[in-house]
Amino acid sequence: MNAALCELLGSEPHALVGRSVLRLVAAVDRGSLGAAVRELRSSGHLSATLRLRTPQGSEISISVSVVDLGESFYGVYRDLSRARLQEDALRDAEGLVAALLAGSPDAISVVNSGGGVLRANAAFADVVGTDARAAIGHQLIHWLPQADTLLEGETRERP
Amino acid sequence: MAPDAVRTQVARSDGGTVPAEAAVTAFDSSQGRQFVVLARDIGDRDEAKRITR
Repeated sequence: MNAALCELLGSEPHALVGRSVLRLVAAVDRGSLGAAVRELRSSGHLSATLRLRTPQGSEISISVSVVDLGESFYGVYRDLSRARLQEDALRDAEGLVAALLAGSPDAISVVNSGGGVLRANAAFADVVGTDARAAIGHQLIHWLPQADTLLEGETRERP
Repeated sequence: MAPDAVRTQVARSDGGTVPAEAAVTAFDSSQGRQFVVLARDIGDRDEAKRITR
């Protein structure tokens, strides 16, 4: 095993050597182990997602790819818990931004360095007299003649 | 509104104009540099000043 697997399981190598990987599978997924082992024996490889119970008692979601090498197995484990946490954080941030944009009484637009509108809120649509979705892809300067000057000023202040 | 907000005019799609204060904040996204442009309609404020005078 490598250091990444030890980190994933929160264990030192000596605590894992000689221990059956199957015994680390969380109770909720143990029922499917028999079929997974049979698939591994018959096809020579297995890809699955399951939960492991670490020696410390916490459960983690992983994806695992195992290859039957005959006298041993080669397995690659990937921590899905971390990826899921990152997805959750991203979803939370996106929800927060969407709520702030939707609730703002001020016209807000997000534009790229060329002045093209990437995003606009309802207040923006109200002020400029168009649909927020219709504004996307258009140049902000169409509604804000000073846009170029404003963007240039911001770029100069933060090189 | 940010201290560096500038007075400007928003050109409406129907040909009208709206007095506004605008402020820009830049940030670096995975797609390159982007800008959040905030424009506050100050038409009511201007109208209030005019009436007060």
